[in-house]
Amino acid sequence: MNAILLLSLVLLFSQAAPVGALLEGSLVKLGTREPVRGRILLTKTDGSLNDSRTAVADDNGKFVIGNILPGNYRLFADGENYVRAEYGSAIALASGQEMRNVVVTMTPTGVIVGRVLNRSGDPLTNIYVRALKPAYRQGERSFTSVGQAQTNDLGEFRLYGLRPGLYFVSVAPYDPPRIEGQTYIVPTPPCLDCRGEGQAEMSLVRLLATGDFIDPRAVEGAVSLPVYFPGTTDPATARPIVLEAGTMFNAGDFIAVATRGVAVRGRIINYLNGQMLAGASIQVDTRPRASGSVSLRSVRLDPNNPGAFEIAGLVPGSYILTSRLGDDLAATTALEVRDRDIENLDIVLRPLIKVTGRLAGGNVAGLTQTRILLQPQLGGIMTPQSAVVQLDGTFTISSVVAGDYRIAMAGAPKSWYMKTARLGTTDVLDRVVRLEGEPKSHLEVLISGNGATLDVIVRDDQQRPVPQAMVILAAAKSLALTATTDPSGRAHMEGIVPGAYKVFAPGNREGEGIWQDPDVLGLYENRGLEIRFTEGGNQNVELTVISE
Amino acid sequence: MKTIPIVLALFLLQVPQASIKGRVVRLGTDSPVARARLALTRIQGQLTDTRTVTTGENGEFSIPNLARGQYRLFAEREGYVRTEYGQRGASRTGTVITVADPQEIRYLVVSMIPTGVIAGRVRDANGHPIRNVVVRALKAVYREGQRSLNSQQMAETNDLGEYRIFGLPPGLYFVSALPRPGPRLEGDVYVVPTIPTRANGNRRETRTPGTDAVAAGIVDPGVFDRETFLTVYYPGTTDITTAVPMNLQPGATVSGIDLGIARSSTVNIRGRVINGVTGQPAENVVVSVIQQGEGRNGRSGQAALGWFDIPGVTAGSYEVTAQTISATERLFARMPIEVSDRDIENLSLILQPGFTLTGRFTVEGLSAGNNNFKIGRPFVQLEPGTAFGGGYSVRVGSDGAFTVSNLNPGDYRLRIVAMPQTWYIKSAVFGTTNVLETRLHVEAEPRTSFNIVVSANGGVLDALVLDAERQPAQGVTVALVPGLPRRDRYDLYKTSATDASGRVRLQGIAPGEYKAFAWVDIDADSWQDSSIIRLYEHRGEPVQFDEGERRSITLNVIGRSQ
Repeated sequence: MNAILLLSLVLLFSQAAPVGALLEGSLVKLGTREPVRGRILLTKTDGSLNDSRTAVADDNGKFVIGNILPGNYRLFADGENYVRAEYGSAIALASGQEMRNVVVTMTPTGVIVGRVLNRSGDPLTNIYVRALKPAYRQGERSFTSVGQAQTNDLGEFRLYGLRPGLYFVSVAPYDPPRIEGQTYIVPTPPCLDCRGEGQAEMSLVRLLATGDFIDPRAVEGAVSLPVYFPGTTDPATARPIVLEAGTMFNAGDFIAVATRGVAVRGRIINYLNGQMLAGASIQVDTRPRASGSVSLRSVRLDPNNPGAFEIAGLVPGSYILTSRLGDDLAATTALEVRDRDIENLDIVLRPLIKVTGRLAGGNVAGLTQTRILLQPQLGGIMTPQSAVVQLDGTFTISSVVAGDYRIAMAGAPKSWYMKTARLGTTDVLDRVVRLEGEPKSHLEVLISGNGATLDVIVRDDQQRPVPQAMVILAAAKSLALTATTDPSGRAHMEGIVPGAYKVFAPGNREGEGIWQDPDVLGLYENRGLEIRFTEGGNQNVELTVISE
Repeated sequence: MKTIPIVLALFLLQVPQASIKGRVVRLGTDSPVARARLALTRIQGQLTDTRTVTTGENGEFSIPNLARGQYRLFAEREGYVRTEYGQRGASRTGTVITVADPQEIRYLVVSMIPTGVIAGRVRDANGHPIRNVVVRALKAVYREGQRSLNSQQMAETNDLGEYRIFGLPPGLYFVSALPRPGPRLEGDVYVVPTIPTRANGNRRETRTPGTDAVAAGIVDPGVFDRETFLTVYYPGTTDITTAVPMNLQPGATVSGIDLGIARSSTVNIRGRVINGVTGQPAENVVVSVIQQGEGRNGRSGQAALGWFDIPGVTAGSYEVTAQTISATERLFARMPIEVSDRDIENLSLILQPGFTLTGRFTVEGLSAGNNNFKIGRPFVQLEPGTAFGGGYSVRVGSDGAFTVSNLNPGDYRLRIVAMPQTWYIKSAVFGTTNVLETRLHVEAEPRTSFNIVVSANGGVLDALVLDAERQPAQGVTVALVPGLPRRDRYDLYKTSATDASGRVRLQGIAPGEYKAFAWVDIDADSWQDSSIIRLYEHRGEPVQFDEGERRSITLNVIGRSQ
């Protein structure tokens, strides 16, 4: 009787209390067997944060986590000066299971170093140096800051913790003090101990009364130009740096460039009556847009002269001025600033435009998610205007600001592509169309569901399939399509417009955006495979991943 | 017709104009400072009167065509403190330049103070470099003899564990290291501290639901640690009282200031707060756990439905305080606790209303209705010593009476502010306690009045300060320090800076023995620190005062390296 009771209890507990699983593994440096010290995080794929487990990978890179509840887990590893790594796939652990020899490959981060000097060769301190990633939006390159450092008293900087990949580097001092009207403004950069980034404003009259210090740069209206690697103030001629895993790139010396700030003065004009227009807003954007590298000047609207404006402290370069009055009138203007003030600039606000059109070719009723876009060529704050194609194939794009556009299509099934686009008798496919008023003709778009297709298998130099590899299809330094390989190293593309292309698989893990940069494409295109497509044709190719 | 303006212009060109010529040199040397940027501002002038020039390779500058007036001249250059002409110490103002018309001012010398560098590495216990550690250069500041360390400059370690704090004016610095705050968990919310910038809306943190953070794969394993980093002070102590300062000389680079990091396990302090007036769980209450001693690190949180849970507390002596947030109802509770290696549960804090302290302020020889008394109506301030929360400041009434309301229990230091400079505090008695020599201790509703007596007949000291060349020294700090038995009487200390003639007047001096000192550059009020004044004791000039006595003395300035 007792034996039966004991057996029952054993069975009961063996069912009620699962035995903890065990996970044992190691961290190794990419491409080597070198152990990596670090920390491990095991999180449940369907659990809360508090179900997580942690462990330490010791000097031999070894880690062990015991007594793990059964379930599906993700495993992350962090190491000082390594990119955070995730173990390839979710780990399913059953009760009592012992999973050993889990190897997590750790990619070492890279470093970019250099110095910032003035023209006399003196080191400059506290200069902001940024690692920038390019992205393309509406055909225009913009920069996003992904790493930042400041120079020390020797003018040296060290950008560290960078994932291997392509970077642009910019150097720019924080905005110096400036004078606006009767106000002395001292910009306050962000810092760990500060309440926030902003500016301190002081009465110029009060400063002058006591003879207090006024920064010479404010008196002279001096501003600094951002300098891009390899030493250019023109972002268009900035060159990318290819930073390999665990390496240090010496970007050399940057010579800071200071100049007098340029002012732009002008009027906002109503196109409808030719009169100056009060109450409109103005926004100034650099071209290309550069997040975190340039702070833009404020725009002063003259209260005594409605419609007049002044933008002070601009550095030489390309800008886009966007002006708007409610939902009725708007204008976007390109502005080239050199070394002299610009006077009497008229920004003419025109009524917003409506563009109507029709989609033709095949069964358009099935293309309910398809949108036709007008992509502004100036960028700025302008976002593409678009309209959904109706069941009868018609579309109406509203609130279009007068300017230059390209026609684009989005949301169509992958196999479809735009074959022709005409505005009246003008071919506007792959061309810039200027819209200054309501078009007299409809926009006629002919599409085809018979795009070409491409099947690719990507292998490494030992002929092993490469999963998660990026495949790039480009034509004449212009990105056509991207795809990512599946676990078997295969990728598929469709809806390819007939023509000649190059296809390649870069070894780095850059995001899709960077491949819209012609300079970046140029670094790889000559290593790509030439390929030609006909309407509805299919190509099968094998690619070897390009090693950096 | 056009000849008249041309003749006039030629005449004006030949009118002699005032100008300033001079050199910029490195402090204490004749070495020129090349490429220094100078800004000359005119007192009561216009922006167009402000002139900017740059020194040549020989450090010389020339500013021509000046209108007559009073000017101030500033020099800037990388590696130097911004220096005003005539400026003695890093935090002093300079000398006004008076320009007559026409006058050529020559041989004007601006001595720029070079900045120094403190550099080193931060490593963990195994000698591995640690990045993103915030290393600070701290300066001691004193308030009534209490030292606290204020951050002057900071740097973060790089991937090699290296740091370099630069742009430091010469002086005494402490150095501390503490890793930048990492992500943390608040319940099931993943909180990542951020540096506030315009780009992130000047937010100090981002908050992500825990499940989202897991899904995004962004969770830092460190959030599950029940450990916290402790501040490590040079030469490697977590005890702020044993931190050792370094004397950074002008333009020096002090390298090899290597530091480690220290961790400590933490516990949670949990309990409840009861409103002692209503007997109900208290709402709108901030609970704080304040470490006792110089560092006074603290953690605080709000009580929800009367319950509180303060995580991340390290071992040590603390005071737990609770205070209502409401402006109308000021209730308060406090409790000393000792924290070891275990959580503290079920603390019970009973909020009580504050007390009312009444007092009388008397000026010897003046009736309350006297005009001089009305002018001299000062503020009575009670500064918390062991007590938590803000201090109290009340103005003495025209009849000499004052009342401090909602006074929390605790110990307070008395300060009298906005009092005429010639007055001094003669006595301050609460019950039988002389509050000038100890603290005002309040633990229950006071039953006696607080009586403060001041004298309008304080002593006066006129001092002439001479530099090493026996010339009058301008911009020098002069301090009158009470004799040894009264060094804790912070109301007795007097200080001021010499004028252009090297003279200074100190007033409102209470009778007794003192020593007078004159320093060219010293941290404010550091002479209240016994360990620092001890270094200079032998350089002090003894001086004694009787009631209302006037004394004149000559002091020799104490230099930077003395």
